[in-house]
Parts: sequence; structure tokens; C-alpha cells
Amino acid sequence: MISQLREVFSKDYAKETFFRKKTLEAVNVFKLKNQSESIEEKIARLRDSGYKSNFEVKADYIE
Amino acid sequence: MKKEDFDYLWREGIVCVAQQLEKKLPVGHESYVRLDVSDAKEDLLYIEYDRSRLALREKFFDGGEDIENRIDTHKICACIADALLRVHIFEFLSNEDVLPKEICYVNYKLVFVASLHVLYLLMLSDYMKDDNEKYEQLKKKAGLELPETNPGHDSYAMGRIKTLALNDIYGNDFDRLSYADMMFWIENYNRAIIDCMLNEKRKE
Repeated sequence: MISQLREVFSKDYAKETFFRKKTLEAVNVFKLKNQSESIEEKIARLRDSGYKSNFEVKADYIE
Repeated sequence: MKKEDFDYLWREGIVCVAQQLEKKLPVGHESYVRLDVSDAKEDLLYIEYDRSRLALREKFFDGGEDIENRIDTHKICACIADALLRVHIFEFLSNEDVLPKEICYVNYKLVFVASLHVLYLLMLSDYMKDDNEKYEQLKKKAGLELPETNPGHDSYAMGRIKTLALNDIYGNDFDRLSYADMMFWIENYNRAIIDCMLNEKRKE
């Protein structure tokens, strides 16, 4: 019984380990991309325009 | 983001929300909690923000070849939220009493609303560049709208605030990518509302 269990567990474990090893090797294919405008440019535009925020913490946000 | 850019978001985006939240706290809150918006607190927050951003960049972002890949608006908001979870702008004072509910929530409310405010500012900047009519419309709204939830549920904002609190209390890692995804959908929702309003206006 125990040997049967061990066999099943080991097979699954080996498969899982192989999957992890291969995806880790290929991790760069999953990495995110973004080549839009930088945050620095967005902030500079607000700052240079002299914008002062009028944002209101509305009651329905927090009650 | 350089410190001078972070200074702008701190001053315009975070401190402004913290001060509005403080005004909504119950009378006598001073014996439980103290708002600290000093330069020293800002420096601490910037260090945490930058740590969060670098970790996100290193693990999840393609470095880029010809053009550098950058961390976008929504992930910047998520890194600010992450930093605010670690650096408490409202400091709890030693007090034997049970904390009033509004005070328990205050740092988590700040995390959510300040990240929304940063999103609002960066949306304004995008509109400022691309579309003056939409810029004026968003400015007039003075905030962002959030979707209605199903009957019987917490409001969208309170649901998010409670989730932030519970994950923090139980020691679960803050998931910056999921938070950034939520920011994306909030932006998308508000852009759709503005587009719709302007289309209706043009029809009149």
C-alpha cells in the first residue's frame, strides 16, 4: 500500500518538478511589457501646468 | 520615479487625502491617532515605495531591448498602496480603550483612497495631453466613480478597504499585480462614463 502511494506521489512530484523547472527556465517569456509614456512625463505635465487637485474624498467611498 | 516626482504625488495626492480623512474622524480622535505628514514620514514612504517598485520591476518586468519597459500608472498606484500598508501615516497612540471603528479603518482607507487619487491625477495628465474636453469633464467630477455592488453587499470601496485590512491582519502578501488590475478597471470604467457623457452631450 505504502509503496503504491509512494510510486504515485513520486511520479506526480517528478512531473510537477519538471514543469516548475521548465517554466522557471522560460520565465522571461512571461515578463510584462509597457512602452507608454513615463510617469515622470505625466507628473511634469501636471506640475508645469500648476494644477492643484480638487479631489474630494466622497462619503460613499468610505462609509 | 525620482524623489521630486514623488514629492508631487505625496503633496497633491496623499497628504490631501489624509487631511480629508482626518477631518472625518470622530471628535476626540486625537487620543487614539495622530496624523504625521512630516518630511521624515515622506522619506520613509519613498524608501518603501522604491523598494516595492524595484522588486516588482526585477521579478515581473521585461528589461526591454531597444526601448526600456516601464512600470505603468496602475502598478505605480499599487506600489504606493504597498508602501502605505507598511508606513502608517496615521500613527496609533498608546491607549487602553477599544478603538472606535472609524479609527481602526483609517490607514486602510488612506491606502485605497490615496491610490485612487494618484490614479485620478495621472488620468488628468493623460487627458491634458490628448483631449481637453475629457480633461475638463474629469476635473469637474473631482473624483472617480466606482461601480455599484450587488444588493446586500458592502459598497465597492468598503469591500476593497476591508480586503486590504484582512489580508494585512492575517499576514497575506499584498498582490501588487491584482491591485494594479483593479486600478486598470477603475480607470476603464471612468473613461467609459466620460465618453458616454460627452456622446450624449453631442447628441443634444
